[in-house]
Amino acid sequence: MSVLQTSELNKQGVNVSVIDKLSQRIKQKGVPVETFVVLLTALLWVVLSFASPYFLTEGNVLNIMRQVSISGIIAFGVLFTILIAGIDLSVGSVAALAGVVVAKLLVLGLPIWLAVAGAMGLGIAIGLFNAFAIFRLGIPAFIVTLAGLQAYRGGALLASDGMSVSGLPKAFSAFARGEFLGIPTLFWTMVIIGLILHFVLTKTRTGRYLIAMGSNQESARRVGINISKMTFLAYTLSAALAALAGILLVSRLSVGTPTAAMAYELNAIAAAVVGGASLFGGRGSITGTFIGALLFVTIANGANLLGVDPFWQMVAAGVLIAIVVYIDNVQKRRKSGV
Amino acid sequence: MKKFTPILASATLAMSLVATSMSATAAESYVPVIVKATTSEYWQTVFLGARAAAKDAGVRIEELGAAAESDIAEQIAIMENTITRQPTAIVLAPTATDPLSGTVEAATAAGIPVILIDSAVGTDAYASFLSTNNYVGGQKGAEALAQCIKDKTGKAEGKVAYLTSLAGVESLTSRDNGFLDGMKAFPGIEVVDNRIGNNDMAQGLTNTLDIMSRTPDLVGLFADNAIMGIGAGAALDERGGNKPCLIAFDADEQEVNLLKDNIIDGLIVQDPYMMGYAGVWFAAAAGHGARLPKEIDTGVMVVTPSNYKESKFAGLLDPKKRQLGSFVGE
Amino acid sequence: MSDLLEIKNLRKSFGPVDVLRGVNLTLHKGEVLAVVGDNGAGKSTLIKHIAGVYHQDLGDITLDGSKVDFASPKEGREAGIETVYQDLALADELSVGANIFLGREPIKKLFGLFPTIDNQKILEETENLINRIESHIPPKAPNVAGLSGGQRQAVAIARALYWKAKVVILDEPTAALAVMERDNVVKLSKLLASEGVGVIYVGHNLVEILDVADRVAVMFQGQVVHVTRSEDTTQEELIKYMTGFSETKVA
Repeated sequence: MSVLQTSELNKQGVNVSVIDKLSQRIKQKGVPVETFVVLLTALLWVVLSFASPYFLTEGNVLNIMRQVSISGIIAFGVLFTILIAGIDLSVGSVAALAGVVVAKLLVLGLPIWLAVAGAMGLGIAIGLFNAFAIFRLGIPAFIVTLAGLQAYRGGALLASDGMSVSGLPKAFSAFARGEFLGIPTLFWTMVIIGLILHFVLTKTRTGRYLIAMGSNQESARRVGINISKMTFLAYTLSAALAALAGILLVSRLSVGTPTAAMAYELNAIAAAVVGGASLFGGRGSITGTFIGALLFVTIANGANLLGVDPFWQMVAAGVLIAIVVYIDNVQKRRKSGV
Repeated sequence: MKKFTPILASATLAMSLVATSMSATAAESYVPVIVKATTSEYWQTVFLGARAAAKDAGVRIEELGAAAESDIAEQIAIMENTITRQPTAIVLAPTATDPLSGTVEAATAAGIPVILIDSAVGTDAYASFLSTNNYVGGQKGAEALAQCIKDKTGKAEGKVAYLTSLAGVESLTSRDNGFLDGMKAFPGIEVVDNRIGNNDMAQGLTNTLDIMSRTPDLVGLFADNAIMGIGAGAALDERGGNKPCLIAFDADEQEVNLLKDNIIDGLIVQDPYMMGYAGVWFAAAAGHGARLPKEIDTGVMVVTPSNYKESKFAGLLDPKKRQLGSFVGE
Repeated sequence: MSDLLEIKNLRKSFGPVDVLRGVNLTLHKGEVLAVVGDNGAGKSTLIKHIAGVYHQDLGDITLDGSKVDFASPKEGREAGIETVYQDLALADELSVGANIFLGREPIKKLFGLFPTIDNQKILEETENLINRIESHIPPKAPNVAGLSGGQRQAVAIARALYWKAKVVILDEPTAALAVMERDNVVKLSKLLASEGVGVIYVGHNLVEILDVADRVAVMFQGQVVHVTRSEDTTQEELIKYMTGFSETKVA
């Protein structure tokens, strides 16, 4: 009724009624975190393109693309564990371990495809082990992957004697530095992986079952969804993508370091959550996660281009995470009807 | 290096006499070598030197350290456990200035001489302190950067930036301060930017690219450790085109590769091998009651693409090739 | 009316506690059979046996004339026994249609190659279904988290209806609902029965029970002690049986 009255009373009735409807919708359902983050990122890009003449230069946009690729790939994997109401804290360490292993294998003289396959195989094995410990042994995901955070980092240090592994073939480094149609190959890699995962998540039974499981594991079990399969899928995907990101990082840096990808698990979780994923499970998207990763990369890039004090940059990223987790909590409360 | 070699040589000479005369007990000596982190090439090189000294001096060493340089509590715990075991002497690279003071005093009070290497503590209750003068290293970095710019452009002028690996670490802060003060000698050069990389190579890479986006006419970069050096090197390699001068601290294997590829134009090389070697010798000597010089500078050198093949650098760039003559040093 | 489900001498002990002590009960096609009883009388245990959650120590369950012995609720569901639990068991983050079709999604091939969920079909079927049960659920709501308790109950019942369940067990379906929404659930239960489904309705509210049920079975101390047509009984009589003060039960 109020919509109708307002539009009748106002000369610009149509506009007002649209705004009115929108504000009603917001009152009823709240602003989805995704919308908020997309707007914030867009706003940041607009502001930065005015604030710095270098922001929208070709070189800088390519830098942002390369940078968001590796953190995006890790975040996509972590998103799948968050979707089933789990978590994967071990991705940074898995990336470092896979990176050191691929570098070691290359230095031993293995062909590139074999070295990459070996490191990827290790990542998959780690994911299967994580899922086994979580699902079969019943240890909480937080504990399993926190232990993994330590253990796989230790593995990376052991495999490398604590030193960086250099002397990699140029052809291996060439991949991460290459471009196709003017877009970095790293970015293509992320886009292709993202499209496939987006398709799986939104169009297939597997994606729907992951969301159902994270939303209400008991009801998913009752309708006959294979909870075990979904758990193994999510953790294996997470570790495999972390391994891939670790390999790509080595390709970009031309050196394998056991201390690489430190704290990347936090960035990945932050990207997924900022992109609308709920740490309580059942909610999240690939597009949102990409936007989340892009937002953090943009903040860091913008701060560098504007010469913002690095300490303030950390504070800004921290405040952003706090705000988004707060919104997530509000949503959870709304969901439980309080 | 000049002021260091004779002092160390004389100390070594004096000590080897002592060691020979007391060889029966020396064989049972036990010296823990506690580094900042067992996980970096730099500290592994310290261990290499320590092992060589252990063989030469006939002492048993134990290689200890936390996994990460930031883990101060872990190093304090290692120190406390070590003191309980009453070793002959302790070689310690303290991760933090003040937090480690208490354990160093406790060791000294328990009659265990402490030989500090690399970094200082906030007490003078130690037997000897062998270190690189990081401030001087930073100054040499500034000089090398200015020289490189001059070689490339014909004049020491333009904009430069520096990459800090971690904030609030004494040795890095000294390097940065030395670099900034060293740059004052070149009024044509302006330091326009500084980024902190959280000791993450990928962030060092990103920061370098962003610095160059922001300052397209940048002529020089200084990286204050190996991780930032390799990150910056990867960035310049990836970006291609006209590259600014890059001077980096340390001599990690990949840094040396980048130096050979002319991506890094100069390395500020410390002598971690000598710190480990001399640290253990001093520890053995102190265990026999020898008086040690309070402070020793193990020196820094500048290695460039044009001089890295000189034999005097071989052992510094690759510690496995290190050979010490009868008078130690090169 | 034919015998849809027949339970004979069903016994179950949990350790030393005899929870079911020889339950006999028959459910006809197209009727609402209410099961009432005090807490601990064995109602929940009984329906969990029917659904396949528990396994009896002794006794038989016969569905459509043949003995059944479910190893899991999934098997029970496949045989046509659908349970709508108190906690509703919907996936909050999925839409109405996705919940109704969860685990049994219609598939279409994308480019004749990749099996994808046919969301268009789900939406159409859901709209039909909602019209059929005359409910006011928004079929396009992105998820069921925002629905009221009654609407969620309706989704769960619609799911049972769509999948042509033979037996639908409603476990205290109105316990968490506002008074206004209870009538709707009663209406839906009758609708299910009119479609030929055998409905087992577990509840506490006797006014509601007498309204919804064709017959009422009273449980007391692990046995069905009284079965009656609802028009032949009163609240007072049911309470007597529920509390063990009936003339037959005085022993």
